[in-house]
Amino acid sequence: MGFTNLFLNNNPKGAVPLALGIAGLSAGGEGEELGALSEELGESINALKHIAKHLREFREFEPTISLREVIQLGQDVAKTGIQTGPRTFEKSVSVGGESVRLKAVLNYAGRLRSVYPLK
Amino acid sequence: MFKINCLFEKETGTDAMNPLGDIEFTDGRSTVAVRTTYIDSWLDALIKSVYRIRQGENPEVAIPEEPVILYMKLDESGGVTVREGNYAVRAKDSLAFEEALRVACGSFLEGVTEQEEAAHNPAIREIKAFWAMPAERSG
Repeated sequence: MGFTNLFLNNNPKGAVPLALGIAGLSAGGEGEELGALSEELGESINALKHIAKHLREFREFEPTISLREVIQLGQDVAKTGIQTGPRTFEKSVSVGGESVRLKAVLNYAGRLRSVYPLK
Repeated sequence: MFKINCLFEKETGTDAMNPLGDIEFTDGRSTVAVRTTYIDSWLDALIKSVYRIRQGENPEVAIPEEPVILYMKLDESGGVTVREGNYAVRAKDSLAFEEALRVACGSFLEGVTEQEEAAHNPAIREIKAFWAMPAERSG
């Protein structure tokens, strides 16, 4: 049977016991609790969890970049980048010493939904 | 039988403004899946692709939140293939694809419509409109 995961979750299902609840969720072993990070950065836990999936794309440029730093980059792109669509913004930023074009996407309430490097 | 499954994130719960989870396309032999993604955006994009398939086009389906593209193709025997990279699944015809999409929309709506934020998410309104329309009239 053929099978593909286009985007595997950094945090495989079952890796975090449900009983831990939101406060215990971490971004795929990144050591950053999603609940605390969500509260601190003002973004939803689901957005953080989605963006955590794109961490590895950022780590191709900067192996030690954290989820917090990626979210802050996304917030900056959404705030100061060029608007390319109703909810999308783009900006070139320095990641690991390289200039990387990022795309940030907002939800319908104007909060961050996604950010990833454009190839 | 071709199916589209929407699976909400269990750990973080359903959020109508950011409905996160997996979307899977399966034909009983293979599965194409996008994990930890925005289900509302995919369903909205797939609904738009249905209208294009009806016009004989082979649409590329993408959402702003992901760098991935799903390639859809209407083949000579009327089947609809959803392909990404070397993997593909096939619905026997466009009606089977539409029916699978409508079922997926219904399943998705069950999870979000009770939430107040659903009213502020335009993608959910589009999904609801498609789901509520009989197949023969949704074009």
